[in-house]
Amino acid sequence: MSSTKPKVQPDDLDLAFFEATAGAGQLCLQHCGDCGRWTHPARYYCPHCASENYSFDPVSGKAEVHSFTVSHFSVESAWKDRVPYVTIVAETAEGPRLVARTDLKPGDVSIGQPILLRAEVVDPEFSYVWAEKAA
Amino acid sequence: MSSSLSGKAAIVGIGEFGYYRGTDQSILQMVLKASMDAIRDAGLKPSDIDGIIPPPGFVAWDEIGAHLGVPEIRYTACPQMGGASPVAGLINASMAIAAGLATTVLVPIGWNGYSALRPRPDARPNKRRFSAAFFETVKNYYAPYGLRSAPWWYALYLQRYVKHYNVPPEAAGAIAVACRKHAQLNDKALMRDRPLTMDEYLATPFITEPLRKGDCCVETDCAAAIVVTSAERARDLAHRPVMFLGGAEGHPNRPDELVNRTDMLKLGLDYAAPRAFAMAGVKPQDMDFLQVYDCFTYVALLELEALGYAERGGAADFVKDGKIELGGRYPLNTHGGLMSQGHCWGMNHIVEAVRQLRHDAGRAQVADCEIGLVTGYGDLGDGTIAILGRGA
Repeated sequence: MSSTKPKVQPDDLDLAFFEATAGAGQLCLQHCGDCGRWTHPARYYCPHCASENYSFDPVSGKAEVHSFTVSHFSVESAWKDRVPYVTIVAETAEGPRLVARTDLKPGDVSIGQPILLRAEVVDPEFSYVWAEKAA
Repeated sequence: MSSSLSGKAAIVGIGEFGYYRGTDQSILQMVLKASMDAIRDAGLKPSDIDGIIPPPGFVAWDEIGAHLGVPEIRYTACPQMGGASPVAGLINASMAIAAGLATTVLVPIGWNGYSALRPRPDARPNKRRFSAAFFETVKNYYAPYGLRSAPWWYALYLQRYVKHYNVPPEAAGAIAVACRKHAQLNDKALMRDRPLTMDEYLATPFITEPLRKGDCCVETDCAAAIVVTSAERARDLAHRPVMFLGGAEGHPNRPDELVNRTDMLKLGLDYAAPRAFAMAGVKPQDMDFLQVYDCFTYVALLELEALGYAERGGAADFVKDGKIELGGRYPLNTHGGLMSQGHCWGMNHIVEAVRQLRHDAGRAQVADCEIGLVTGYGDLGDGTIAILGRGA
């Protein structure tokens, strides 16, 4: 589960998302202060109620596999020795979907399967989202 | 019900530079050559051009106009939607002409899609870079996960399409095989002399599931351009005009990322296609050919469904038994498409549609064709469509 450090350098609300997650040490998502809905990637206006009031709050981590891909080829040094690797589109219990990496093997992933998400804080401005098999 | 834009403008010139794997020409040179060819093909001079719709990146309207010697530019706009941009440019040009803002508009595009990744030691490196709004999303949320470029991004939703609807690989293979078959009739196609069978397609290795190597289009150095003018002026030019009968653009909700769309499989084209058919006053069943943006075979399948040729998940039946090959009911990508002619952002699809409707498509000619469609797709799902007809 060791990770290389990507040069991401986010701006704006993406930076706020990563800073909140690093600060809390767990996955945080944008939470509307008016309608209570969750949004990712974060937006300056809530897509549900157009509110400008929000905070980044921890989420449960409960999610399911909405889609995934199994990569058999990469030209990237950080990834080419890991093939075949699985990347998951995770739908959180709170609603938003996130792309997540996982150590699950290709045959162990199917759409609809429950998973658990957690953040791996790499630095104050970037965290990976990891998907693990739900207990 | 036809809108006021239908039939008001026509494509009168086409130009292509390509299709190559490796060239000593810069992107700007390729774009200028294709542009000048399109202007000359129309029987016009640079001084006849008064509008330029540039590509969404690499080269800009002002340098194109200056290098070509266009004395007065009255109109420019830049649709930024990746491979949906050329059709958007055609729609935009038609609109500007119908509104009286310009009389004759050049719409070029080009890139070094092959050489950029493989700089030759003896060639000057091309320093021009491309950017798009959705690159922020990619940078923050996809690229760190080993999802480097288009095949990896689009696999995120195409795998759901395949799994949820049990789409067989043979359906995608039918797109690849048809494009390759048509490329054998096209001297400019990159994959001429390299026929492909279904078994050979199925044997190509996975890049990122569900995409095999055989599902991915070819990286290409090329440029292409069209010249658009009014229906009235088109009657006096070098070729039989190809009429703009209808067009529309559409965008997924949200357009700047892939995975949080309510329905990840709903493309921009799902929104655009009904509006384009309504503008033209025709039905999908009226088309004589389909030039469908085929960056990846599975994307083309979803587009055929968005166009109304099959229910969601049902394109497998539509593409089988040679129906999308020349001689079939709906010949698709009669030039070989992005899959087998080359990736020119879909401008090559517009150029091919013009050849077909002029009845100048050589061995790939769809006999007696009168009307056909072109689609565009890009930047995580933006969609465009134009319906074109043979002029008088």
